[in-house]
Order: sequence, then C-alpha cells, then structure tokens
Amino acid sequence: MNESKDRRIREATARVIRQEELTEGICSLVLETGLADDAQPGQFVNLYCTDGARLLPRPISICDASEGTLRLVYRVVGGGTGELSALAAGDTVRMTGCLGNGYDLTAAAGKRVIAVGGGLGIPPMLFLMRLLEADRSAGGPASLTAVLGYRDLRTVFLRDDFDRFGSVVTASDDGSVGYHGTVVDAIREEKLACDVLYACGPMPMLRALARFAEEQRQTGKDIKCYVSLEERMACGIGACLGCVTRTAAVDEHSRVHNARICVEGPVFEVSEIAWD
Amino acid sequence: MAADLTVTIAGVTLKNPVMSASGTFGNGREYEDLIDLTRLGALVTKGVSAVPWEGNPTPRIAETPAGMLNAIGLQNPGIDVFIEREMPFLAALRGKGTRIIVNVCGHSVEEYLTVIDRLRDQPVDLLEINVSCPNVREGAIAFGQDPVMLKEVTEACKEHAAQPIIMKLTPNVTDIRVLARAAEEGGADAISLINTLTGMKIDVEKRRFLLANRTGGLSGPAIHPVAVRMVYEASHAVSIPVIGMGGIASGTDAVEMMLAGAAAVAVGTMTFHEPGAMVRIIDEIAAYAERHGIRQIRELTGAVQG
Repeated sequence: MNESKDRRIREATARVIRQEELTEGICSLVLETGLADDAQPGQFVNLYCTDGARLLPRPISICDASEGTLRLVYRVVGGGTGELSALAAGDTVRMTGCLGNGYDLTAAAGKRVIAVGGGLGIPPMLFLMRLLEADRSAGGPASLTAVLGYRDLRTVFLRDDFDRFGSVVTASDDGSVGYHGTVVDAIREEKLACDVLYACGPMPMLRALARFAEEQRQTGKDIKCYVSLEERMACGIGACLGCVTRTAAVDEHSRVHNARICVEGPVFEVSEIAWD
Repeated sequence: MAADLTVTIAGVTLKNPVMSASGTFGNGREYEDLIDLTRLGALVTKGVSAVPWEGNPTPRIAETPAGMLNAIGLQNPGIDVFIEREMPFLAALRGKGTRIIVNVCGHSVEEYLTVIDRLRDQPVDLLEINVSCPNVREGAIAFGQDPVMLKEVTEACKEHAAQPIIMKLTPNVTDIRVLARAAEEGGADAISLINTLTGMKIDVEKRRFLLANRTGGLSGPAIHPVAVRMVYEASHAVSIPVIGMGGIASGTDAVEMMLAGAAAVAVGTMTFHEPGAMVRIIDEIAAYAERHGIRQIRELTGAVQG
C-alpha cells in the first residue's frame, strides 16, 4: 500500500494492434500506446467507451507491457466491455494510465515466490512472472511458481503463456484441469514452499490466501502476501472516493479506516486489510 | 475580439463561468496531471466536515444510462487535515487566478460552524454549504428539505463566515422555489443547484441492491433537463446569483444552463468520462460567444426568450 513516488497519470488515444478471443467471453487486446512504458505489474488502465450512455471508464488490469505495447486480457461482462470487444486492428481507444500502485517486486529478492491467479486475476500474474523471471539472475526470486485457478477446462486461458517463466500448477472447481479444488488447496497439497505470495482473483480466493498467510505467520514463518483488490470505480485516480477498502489501521490519506483501491492499491499486503 | 468570459458571484469575479462540482474533483491535486487547473473559473473542493468522516460501505458507485449513482457518504479527512494538506496547493492555484470554493458539510449546525470558523483566515474565495447530500442520514439533506431549517442554518452560517456563502440545494423537494427563497431570506449570497437526484438500482440476476447504501445520488447527462428546469425556477424566485449544475457535458449544455438563469456553471460527472471536460467546455463556451457575437458572457444569464 504505497503510492508510487513518481506517479504520473496520462491520457492517451491508443491504437489497436490486434484483438482476439482467448476463450468464450475472454478477450486479449493489444494496444500501441506510450502508456505502456511506465507500466508495472498490478497496475491498471481506464478505458473509455464511445457510447455516451456509458460514462464511467472500464478499469482493466495490465496483462503485459513492453515498450510502446500494452496487452489487456478482460472478460466481456456487459455493454461497455462488449463495446471494447468489438475493437479491431487500426481502431483507437481513449484511455488513462497507468493507474494504481502495482506489486512490490523488491519483496521477491532471494525469496521463494508464488504468483496466484484466479479467473480474471490470472492476466496480471503473467506480467509479474515475466519480470520476476528476468530478474532471476540479478537478485530476483530464488524460485518462481505460478498457481492458476480456473472454473473448469472450458474456461482455461493464458495457461501455456506461463510455462516460459516458471513452474505452473493449476486447479479447477470441478477438477477438469489440475487439482480438484481451490488454488489454496493446490498450494497445500503440493506443499509449495513460499516466502512471498502475489495474488489476484475473486474475493473468496484472496480471503483464503489471507487466512493461509496468517496461519503460516503463526507458525513463526516470515511470509508476505500481496493481493490485488477490486471495487466499483468512477474516477480511477483517487478523487471520487468510490473504491475504498476497509483497512486494519487508520489510513494516512483518508484519516479513517478506508484506503483508496485506485491509488493506495489495488495491491495491499494482507495485514493492511480489515478482512472481517 | 474574444468575448469577456468573466462572471461575478457575490463580488467575486471568476475568469470564466466554469467550475468543478463538489465531490467529483477531489481537491484538484488528483487531476493535476490530466487538466490545466489554471484554466478553471473556480475549483470547488470535496465536502469538508469538522472531523474525519468514514462515509458509506462499498459498493458506492453504480453506472446508469448516461449517468451514475453514488453513495460515497461525504467521506473526508476533516478540516484540520484539509487545511494542513490541501490548502497550500489550493492557495498556489488561487495565486494563478482560479477561485477557490470550499464545500462545507456537517451533521449539525455546530459542525458546519466549526468548519466555517476554521476557514475564516484561509485563502478561500467562497464557501459552498452542502445542505443537500442525499447519502448522509443526519443533517445534510434534512436542512435542505425544510425551508424553516434551511433559513436558520443559512443565517447561522452567514453570521460566522468570513467569505460569501453559497447554499447548495437538493432537487429532492416538491417546490425548489420555496427552498431557494428560504436560502435568500437566510442571507445566502448565492445558491447552487442541483445536487443529485435520489435513485436506486437493483441487480436483477442477484436480486440485490447495487449500492450498499441501497439509494444513491443520480448525476450525469441523464439529469440535465431536470437541472435546467430547476435552475430556471429557482433563478426566477430569487435575486441572488444561481450556480447551475447537473449533467453538463458540453459548452451547449453550459450555455443552456446560463440561459435558464445560471450566472455560472459546475461540471461534475462528465469529468469521470473525460478528465479534461471542463477545459473543453470553456473553449466551447468561448466559441459559442464568438459565433453569436456575444461580448460579455454574463449577458446570457436568464436570457432565454419567450
């Protein structure tokens, strides 16, 4: 929960390089934009619709970024993301970014790291894994494992993209892919050793990880668990106070037990959050 | 020759009639990277209370057709933090010619007065008193819906304020003219309207309210015609200036609001869609003036014919 020091938000009109549907209702959108240059894993961008009936930006996590190119993988859930899914090569889209704090990658140095993604929480883990793997020889993580949770075989996406960056464990609700159970079940059953967890996914998964981290701490283990939270947003830049989360301590900005997910987050260490 | 865009509210001259609507623009700093704040006629801050306010549980936001519902609940860090952390930035902006208007909220008359007293010696041009938030249970909207209470709270605020006061009114009343007159009788230097319209949205798949607060305030272009009508009615009921707001998305909308009777306008929800909306709207107002050969933009106030 650290507001990045050199936070600079820009508005840009990005050009679509390509878009494809990875599996039913999950789209991969590759954009040409200078916003990509400052992107960090765990950050997000706001995409604006052109239909005047849809005023609020769509916050979408960054799946990968390299110089001038941003990849977003998102689920089509309604009219706004439906509009985005119709974008084709050569089209443009207005956006602001990069938003939020991103994961603290320095915590990975010399540590055994697990990146946990559940459903639409999987995309940002790809960017994170790629950067951590690139650091392996230069003081990065001691080991790197991805644990990916899917609903079922039909909803598998991005699975093979992770192979290049470390070992991969999968889990699914119905057992049709990998472990039959949750990502936390998979971590326990595989007895995956970890000092640092980076996670993104649905709230029940993040709660379970927070409990897991707390259990580990009670056995005397020094473990860090960073989770990316989600909430309905309006501005995305800390002005409207729409997207707060309850914090364990009084937040420095709000002076109450609320932190802005769009600025102080979306990534928080689990001990910073009031989970009940 | 370019038109004179200046307007005057309670003796305070703004370089143009466009300001931010409270609650949609933080305290300005948040938007610094995305818009030239020095272009604004005035910056209206997020509501400030005597002590820190938690606000409502989440979700606090829901999108609606051409609009949105919010139920933030006036979360803010309180006047002490506001003065220490936000005022230096606002004072510097004021030095560059953008007027500073602080929005004041409270659960009781005493709480409003505490904030107003603390602002006496601050570099602030105008105070906007929020007696119209639909998302806070005590105070706030209760003061704005009862003409007797509105007059009393206006009198009390006016007596304590070093700066001229603007009473921000709610549209959630039967007859806005009665409330506008009550504010004027209480000594308000200006009124601003409309705050949001109380609304509700239900997720029919989950059979749940979209907002944790169940109800929220509707804003955005969807409410613009309602706002124009109410600004028209209020401005004809009082002789003090009216600041018009509600769904302004373009220079055309801003001019429409002025023709209905507004001396100045505020832009809120549109900033969420387009961070630079206010600057575009200022430019569009100037272009309108040029196209119509208008020398002074203030000539537009109440100039609708027939």
